[in-house]
Amino acid sequence: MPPFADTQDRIAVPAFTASKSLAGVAGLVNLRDAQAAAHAADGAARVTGNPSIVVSWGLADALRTASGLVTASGDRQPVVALVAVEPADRAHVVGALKTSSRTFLDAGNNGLADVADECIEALALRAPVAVLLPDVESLKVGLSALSERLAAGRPTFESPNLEAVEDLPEVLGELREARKPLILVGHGAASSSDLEAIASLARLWEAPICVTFGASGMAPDRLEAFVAACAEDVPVLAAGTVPWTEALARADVILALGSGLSEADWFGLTDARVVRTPVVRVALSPEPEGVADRTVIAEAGEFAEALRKELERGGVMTVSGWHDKFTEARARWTELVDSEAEKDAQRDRLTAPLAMREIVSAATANTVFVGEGGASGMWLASYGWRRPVVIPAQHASIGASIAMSVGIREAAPDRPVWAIVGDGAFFYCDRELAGLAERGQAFTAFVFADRSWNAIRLVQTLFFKRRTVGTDLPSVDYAQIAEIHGCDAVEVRTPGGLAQALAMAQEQRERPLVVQINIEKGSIPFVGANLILAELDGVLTKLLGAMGTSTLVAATRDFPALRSNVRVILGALRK
Amino acid sequence: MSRETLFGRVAPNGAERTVARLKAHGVSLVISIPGSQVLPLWDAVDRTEGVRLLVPRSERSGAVIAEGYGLAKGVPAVVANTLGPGVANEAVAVASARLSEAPVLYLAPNQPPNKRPRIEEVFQGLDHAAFMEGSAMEQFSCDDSHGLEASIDAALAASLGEPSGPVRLDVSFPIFFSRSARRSAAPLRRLPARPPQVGKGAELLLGLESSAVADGHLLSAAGLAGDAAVHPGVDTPGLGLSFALGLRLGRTRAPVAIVTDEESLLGQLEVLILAQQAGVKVSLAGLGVGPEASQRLRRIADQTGAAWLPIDSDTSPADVRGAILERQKGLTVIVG
Repeated sequence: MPPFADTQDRIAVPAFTASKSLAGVAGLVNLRDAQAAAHAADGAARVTGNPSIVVSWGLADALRTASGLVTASGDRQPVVALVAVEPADRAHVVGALKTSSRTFLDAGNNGLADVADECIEALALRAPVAVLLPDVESLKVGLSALSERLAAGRPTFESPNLEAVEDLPEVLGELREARKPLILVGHGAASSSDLEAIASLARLWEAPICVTFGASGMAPDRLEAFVAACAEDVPVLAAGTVPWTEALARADVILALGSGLSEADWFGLTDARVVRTPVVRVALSPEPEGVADRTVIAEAGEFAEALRKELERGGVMTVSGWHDKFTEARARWTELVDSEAEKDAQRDRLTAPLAMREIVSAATANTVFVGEGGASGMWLASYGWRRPVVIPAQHASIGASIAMSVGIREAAPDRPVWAIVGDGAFFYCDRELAGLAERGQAFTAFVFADRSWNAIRLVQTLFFKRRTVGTDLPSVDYAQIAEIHGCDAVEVRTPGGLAQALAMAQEQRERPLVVQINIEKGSIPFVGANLILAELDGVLTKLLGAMGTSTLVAATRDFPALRSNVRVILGALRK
Repeated sequence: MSRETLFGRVAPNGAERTVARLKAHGVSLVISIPGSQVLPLWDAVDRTEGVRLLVPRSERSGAVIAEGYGLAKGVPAVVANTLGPGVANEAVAVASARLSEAPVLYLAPNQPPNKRPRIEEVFQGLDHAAFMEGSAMEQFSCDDSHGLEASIDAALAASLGEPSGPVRLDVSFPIFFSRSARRSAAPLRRLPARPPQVGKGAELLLGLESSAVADGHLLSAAGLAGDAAVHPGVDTPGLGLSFALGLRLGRTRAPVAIVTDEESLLGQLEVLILAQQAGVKVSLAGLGVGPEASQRLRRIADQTGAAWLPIDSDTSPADVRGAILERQKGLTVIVG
């Protein structure tokens, strides 16, 4: 392995590595693990909406990087992975790199120079790019060159062959006749479209806006702009909540803006066929075929503006009070969620609903929440959706939140970063806490310690007659482990203890803080039903048929919010 | 294999058939991180005597445990993580098992065929076979419930073939849930186990964290060398402890020890905790690490349930060796 000389050129975009061979490069953030480095780059891209870089050297790190890149690829984050391996190892890594990125470039012996333009062009598709380089020296040169290119100007995230809104007349009639229209906003629209235009359309059309799970995690500045544009008169509904499911089930036409219409976008309603209404999709690419009834190749914001003008001219047919129903449904949902927390507060019991409510309440407006798959992410989705939330949607990956937080801290150093971590996932990236501690970076991780794989217990509760095989976790002192990694840490068991911990989190800190929150087993997140539906898409109809709806509803008797969601879904199924 | 219920006998589902076939071939360990799609397998394992479920704290560590186990036992463990990112997280372990020629069966739930043409849009969708091309020794898939047993037979045969190695079998996950009637399974021809590929008769198996951190002085001082040493196929920090636990689980009598450094240990604390869950007694020692590190290590021992071994720089090589050999069923972790 050739020595890697120090360089005076500071890397100008967020860039991460776990390779000790690259440790001398100024501005390159070092992590313990290459998969964590990929997650960090992913986090940086999510929080800024701009490209970031992960750099890896060697067989093991190349494969670990590919493993991490899968999560970024699912949510189409613009991460560039620069990877080099020995010639003998190339065959072992090409498949993983190709599959984990949306664009794979083999730089051959000439390094990045030959593929740099392709790399930048590919980033315009807003998705990961993997570049295979010949050796560690080419990594250094490639990193420097790419960093300069990206610092000079961000790629324009749009298709070069837009037909703009020329196709609008083809779908205008259908949209104009909608009596119960719904706008679905996906990651594509949330990332780069004119959100004011979308909100203005919704206001005129009296259409509620359903946000896909991926778009809930839009970059903080975008989310803030979107919420401001929608104000109070456009109901924005968070993925997986009861009013969101109701709106999708009751709409008579869905205008999907910038959504891939993937299963994650529907949050598991495909197999259950809750969504049975015509879907008009507006996106930059024709894929996936066959999901939408009509696809218009256009930029979402431009299309929304053009449609609004047409509707303004020709009038709308929306039934009276259509979107007000969802303003009310959202208020009821919030009340339901809050009442769960309030009941526990009254009894002085520290539960997940109460903890989540208190955490969200204590955070400053600019705090970035970081979540992951599993129950902890579902809790975050229940409460935190109007706050900036970075969360893997397509893959609902677990174990990435601490590593993603490393990237977010680098890319958005002025924002507090609070992660919600499940105890099942804590050990995926716990070692990265040490790096944050060494760099003196503030960061707070709330570990929801219920000593179980809680999301899985939910499935066992619903579909395996409460046989909770294998889902118990041993009792672990995560606070002590965090201290071993160099963090401040506290374990809390009561609402009062949590209040003290939150006061610590709000202080100016120079080290990470880990708050272990001990909660009871079997506390089921309010949006849990939808995530499970997503996982079981393909067998769900059969399972529901086999067990009977009354059995399913009975199984949810202890979980009022979940029960509400299941009822909505079953109601839609019976239509 | 059918089961008596309140409503009479029910046909086994695909997961129950899978576990029954694996057991018939002598498989006794399933290592799995959960997802809804693998839960029928968990349920079936729980109902099957002689097959054990081990739930690690990450897919990667579980898969490396399987590598050590396969090398030590000569019979594959089955790694059954959930699809998509669960499979992706196995990548480095699959490559490692290929290089060490460890027999491992990676059994993954796969999205059904109708979803694969648009796999990138499917929830947790990943083209497993394409991702693992170049890492797995051979890959099989089963989309037809009738071919389930034959697919398992073929995958296990490939894993135990010449050379042995990691073999993947993707099963369309609705099959695990399905109780639809089936034709008779192909008759079982039980596969012979491979001779264990580690130790070669040595009394002591030593998992080395990586050649970079192996302490030559310690090795010779402890009287350990030659064919007693073994390490994962991908010799890189961060895998050694999982690998050593796999050796431990696959080999019931000989002592197993690992020499590692503190940084690597700190990245694998989950494995110390898992070992306790799996009934393996871990003994932890620091050798020549200084008082501060020694204090940290003692704290790690406290938090993970490991026993603290009083070894230090003054301990004679014979005593180090003796301490390891005493722990015939344990796992000794020496940080040096």
